[in-house]
Amino acid sequence: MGISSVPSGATIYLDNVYQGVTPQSLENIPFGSHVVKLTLGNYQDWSDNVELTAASPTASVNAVLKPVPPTYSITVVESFRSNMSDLRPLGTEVGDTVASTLNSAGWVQKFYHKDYFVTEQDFGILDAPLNQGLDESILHYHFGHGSKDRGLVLVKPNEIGDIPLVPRDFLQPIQVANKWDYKNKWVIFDACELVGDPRWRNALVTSHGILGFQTPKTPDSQLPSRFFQYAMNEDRTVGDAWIQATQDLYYKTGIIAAYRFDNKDQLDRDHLPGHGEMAPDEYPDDYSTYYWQWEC
Amino acid sequence: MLRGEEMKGVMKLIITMGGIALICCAILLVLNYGQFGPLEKEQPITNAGTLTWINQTIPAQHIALQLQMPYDNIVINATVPETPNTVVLYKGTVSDDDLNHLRKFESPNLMKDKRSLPSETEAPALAARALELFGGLPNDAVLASIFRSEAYEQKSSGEITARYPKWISVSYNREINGMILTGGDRDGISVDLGENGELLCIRKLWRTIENTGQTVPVIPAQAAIDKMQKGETIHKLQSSNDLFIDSIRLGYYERKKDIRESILEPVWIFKSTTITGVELLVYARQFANFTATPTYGKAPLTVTFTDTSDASPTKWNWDFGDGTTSTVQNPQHTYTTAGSYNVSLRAWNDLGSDTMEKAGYITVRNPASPIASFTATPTSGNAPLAVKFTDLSANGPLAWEWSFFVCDHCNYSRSRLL
Repeated sequence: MGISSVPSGATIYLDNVYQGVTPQSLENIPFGSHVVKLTLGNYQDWSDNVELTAASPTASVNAVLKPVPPTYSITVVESFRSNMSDLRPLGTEVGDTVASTLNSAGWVQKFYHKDYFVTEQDFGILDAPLNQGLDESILHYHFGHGSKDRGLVLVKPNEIGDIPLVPRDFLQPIQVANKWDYKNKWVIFDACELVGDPRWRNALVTSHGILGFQTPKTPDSQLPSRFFQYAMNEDRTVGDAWIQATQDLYYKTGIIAAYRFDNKDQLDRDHLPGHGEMAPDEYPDDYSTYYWQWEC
Repeated sequence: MLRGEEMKGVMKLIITMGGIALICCAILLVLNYGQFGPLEKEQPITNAGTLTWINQTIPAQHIALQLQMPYDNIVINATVPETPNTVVLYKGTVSDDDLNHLRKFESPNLMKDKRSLPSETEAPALAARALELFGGLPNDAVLASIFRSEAYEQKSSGEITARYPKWISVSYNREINGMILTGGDRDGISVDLGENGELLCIRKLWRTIENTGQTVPVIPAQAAIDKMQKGETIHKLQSSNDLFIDSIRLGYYERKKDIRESILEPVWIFKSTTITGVELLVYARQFANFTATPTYGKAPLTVTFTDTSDASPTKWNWDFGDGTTSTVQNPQHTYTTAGSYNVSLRAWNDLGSDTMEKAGYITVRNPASPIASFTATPTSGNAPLAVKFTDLSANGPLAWEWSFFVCDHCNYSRSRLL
């Protein structure tokens, strides 16, 4: 049985038994009905029944694999009681821009949570093997308040009414250590500081990079559209698009933007799906990250 | 669970004027009932001031009594330079080239790792030389920062195991009459240099600026701090720390460059010189004003108010002084009760608000004419005689005119009431 696929390199299972990768020629298969299944990262699983008989003892399988639509999730924490820190409506503008840009590019939204619907679970703190917050999506975008000492600010409704909100808790790097281990590749922290903390490294299992800021920053609803313009329209690497977008929008403000990648290969090669290649996950993990900060 | 927290902020102001030192101390006590996260604490703003040095702790405004905010305190400890009461307005125009190209030059080597970079002392001269091919360094440019951008490999402990120098950037701000330009898209030049001083990138935004000849009043720094406490800053910060402000100065705000022609507006700049990125801007222009007609008359009195604010406001909030308000630009309001009324107008444009209050601006008197009456005590005695006269007139007079004269053959006179 000859098995090939476009693209090649897909893992072959014959009746649920591993048989190597495509292209491949399998010999000595008993007559009867067999299930051929092909799997390849970022492509939908493919399977078919193949009948081998004495009359037709050979078969040829040529599969065209369909790419899995990329996935994203969004969290926005913007409503605060104090008018000094209330970020409405900028958070919603940022979140909506991310959603509409990615939806029109064919991406699938896993979730878009706001204010007190944003929980620690959204950041993948549960150690379930699958289906846990941002771990389910390739790209996660978070907008809100942050601090290098405290982490990312989460809120709860106050006792009197729904909103405005009061800070409830802070998400710390330690809570997500070894937890981003399913599908996630990049997390954007559109918040102050955060990325400078080297302990975020521990989150980067299957995730490749965290893009954000080293210093305090001001909200700018154009930041996501500028980032996607560079990453999608110009097919730049994820890291490069972040540099260009932050330098454009925070020019001369003294704000320092930064990113932290698991390794330099991912930084150099990672593109958004459909816009270029992507480096493999780091295995085994070397406990070190590639960090870069620049003054906008 | 609610628990009470008592917070004390100490406000100190030391003002030196012409060699005379004036020291004021006040204790500000604020009660704060709140529910706090494990890492949260109370949150004052603090302020310090010109030859005036200010060290002031102002608690962040609590709209209700129970909340915590992501940045607890704004701690201001700064010298406020002697500031004029008015500033000249300038108009900035963005060129086609500036609109489309912030990057005037970009080398293919920009993102590559470099073996070495020029030192921070060498960099400014190299940057100035590189700029000669791009129009030179303008006279109104001031050196703002020198930043070494370096990527590195880092362990989660923080230990850096390898360094990859990228560029050293020399950046310049622009000033007019000593006032720095800041804002949405601010004028400035940034030059990135690589190995052996190779020019990697030039980014430049430099509007054409002309004097409008118009002079406008500005609010003092303290009024700007009051506005900041109410959250009235042009931008907010996505921060979650105490903010430490050690520099307060007046500057000009430049709107986003996609607005091709705009007025550079006066702003108070509160920033940290140690933590880059901490900058809060408060709109400094006094622009709200109004007139009314009539300002005096019998109740019911219908008054037409006219907004005469400059700076193109788009939102208005009138307080007529009798418990009613309006958000119309030029409202009409009818006063039904006699009295003297303060009227205030708060107007907003895209950068913030300004309030003009006129005390006792509208005077409304009773519809019926007043009926004059008074008493006096004592009414007789030896000269010199001090007499107290008390008005007992009906229908609420608004003005009085007393006449005193010698009267040999009469018992009383009538005062004339307006």
